Amino acid sequence: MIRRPAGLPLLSIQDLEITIATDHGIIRVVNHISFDLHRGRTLGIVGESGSGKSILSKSILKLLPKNAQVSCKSRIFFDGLELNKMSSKTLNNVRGRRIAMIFQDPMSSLNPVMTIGNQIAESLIYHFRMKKNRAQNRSVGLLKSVGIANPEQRVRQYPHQLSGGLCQRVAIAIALACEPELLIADEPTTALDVTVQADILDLLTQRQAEKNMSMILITHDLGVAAGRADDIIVMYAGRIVEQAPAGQLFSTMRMPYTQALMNSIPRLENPPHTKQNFIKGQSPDLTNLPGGCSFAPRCSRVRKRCTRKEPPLSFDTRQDHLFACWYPVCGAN
Amino acid sequence: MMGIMLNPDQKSKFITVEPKSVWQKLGVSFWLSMMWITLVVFSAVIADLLPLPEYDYIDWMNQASPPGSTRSIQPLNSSQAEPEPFVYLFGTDTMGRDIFTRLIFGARVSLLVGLITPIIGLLVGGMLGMLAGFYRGRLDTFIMAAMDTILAFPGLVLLLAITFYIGQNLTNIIIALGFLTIPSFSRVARANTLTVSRREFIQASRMIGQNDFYILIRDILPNIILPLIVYALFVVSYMIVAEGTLSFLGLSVPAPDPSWGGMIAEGKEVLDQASHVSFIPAMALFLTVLSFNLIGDALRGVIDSKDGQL
Repeated sequence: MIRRPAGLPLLSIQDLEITIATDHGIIRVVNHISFDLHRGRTLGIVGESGSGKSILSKSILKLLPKNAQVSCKSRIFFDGLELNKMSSKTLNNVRGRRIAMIFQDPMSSLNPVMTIGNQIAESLIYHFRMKKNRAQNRSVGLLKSVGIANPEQRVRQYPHQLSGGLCQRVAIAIALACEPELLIADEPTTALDVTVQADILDLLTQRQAEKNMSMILITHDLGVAAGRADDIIVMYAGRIVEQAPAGQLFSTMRMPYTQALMNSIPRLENPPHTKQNFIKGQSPDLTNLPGGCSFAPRCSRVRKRCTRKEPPLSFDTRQDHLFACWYPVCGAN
Repeated sequence: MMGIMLNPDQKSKFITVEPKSVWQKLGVSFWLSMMWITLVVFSAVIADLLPLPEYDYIDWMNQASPPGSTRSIQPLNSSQAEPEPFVYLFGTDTMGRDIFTRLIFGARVSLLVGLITPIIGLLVGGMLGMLAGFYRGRLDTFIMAAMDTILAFPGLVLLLAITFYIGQNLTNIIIALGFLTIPSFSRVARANTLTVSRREFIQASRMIGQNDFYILIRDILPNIILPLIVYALFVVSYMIVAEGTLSFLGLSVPAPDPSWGGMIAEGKEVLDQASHVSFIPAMALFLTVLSFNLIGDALRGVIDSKDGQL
């Protein structure tokens, strides 16, 4: 566990385990995950599709689909409150007010039949009992703060009249309306244009610094997490496979999976027609996980022990650098 | 609207392309239908104020007389000046009653049944469907099983039972027909709720901290209300026909009160000699039903094109 800043963490997840009952049997989408997040810090969660990142983030606010089950041993603490033991009613005072979330697809995370002004005002009216007029004025200010030009006109528009990037800015405005202490950004830029991606991420980090928010940045792109996260968790098949401060992770990655992810990022300095590296195979079928390390079938360094026994999440040289591998990569990357 | 800047010098001037307005998209048939419906509704509302004879006034000398014939004999009590001859615009029925008058008063029955019945279905069925689609699980199974039971129950038998045991009047007919529309409304509502509640903005709403009631009313209802209303318009025409069928069978408003279906039934004995007795109310029924269908169609077209924009 990463415990550098003193004091209690803002968010502490202990032994989180989530199972989903499907027609093909019970799948364990999140498997014994623990981490702490301190105030003002950013945690990047990186992993392939289906590695359990989104489910993990949704479980914090109890937004899971109905067939998902959080194990009773799991504990989610937020500033002393045990979120997963709270009733929906008391949890509603935390949702949106103290923890907010930004979703992947801005086009579908906004209500198509409500003006964006009303959508921003909604949470202000709900949480601060603001008068409608004041909330509307405030939403103009919020739109301005997320960098939308002529906000006075925009508040009266509907989501289909805005582009994807603008919609995501609106979603950020909604999330930031009540000045939450923790912002969960679930792949906030995946559905957007590459040129808009950087803008949105810069906006998020800038607003975060201003309000001293904590942020969980979920992404499948190591590059996105690289510049913005303080700590990074790499997930694979519902488990944490590597966890370290960002600088440490990128200078010396220990887990072959992280290294493989890193190597499959296309580089500008590559000469033309360079063959793109990729991780062979598919992410594993969660209903039928291989015994031992779940990355073993795709790993280039696989040995017999890997397929027999599952490696625990442990550290060797540095206490804050955890990894789950029997034969970690050594030395600088 | 997204602005397109044509000239870089015009820094703040944006040219916006206005889309075709909703009114233009609706088309001619929509407006013709609206005119007909307005005419029917208007005359049904002010029927009491129009200079018409009583709808059950029987002119024994003019039975089944063709459209345009005049009243030949004065009423018995006319001791004063000679009254103006009354022209039977649409002729008289087999009992010598003015068809035009009966058509207008009959429109009241058709419209009341046609408009109130879908509202019952819309409110009750819509609510049940929303609950079923939103909560799923056991509640869904229970509600949908109840709806299937109603659907499987023969409607005519229910209506016969109601008129037989509770009494034959307009209120009972409306309630019974309304009850029979509940399952179809709940199915439409459920299907739409299922797709809407899977959208991410419902989760976003929950993320803000809204409770289920608020999400149902503010987020789901506005998104499913248009398809429900369009469906209700089709049910309106369906219910007008159903009421016509019922009164044809003598199950709707009791005689002498006029209703379109009853008027058609009255004329069936004299179809060969005086076809207008059946034909004129049938025409009114046809035009009204067609109008409601065309209005529904036009509105559905507008909604579909709106979906295309999203």
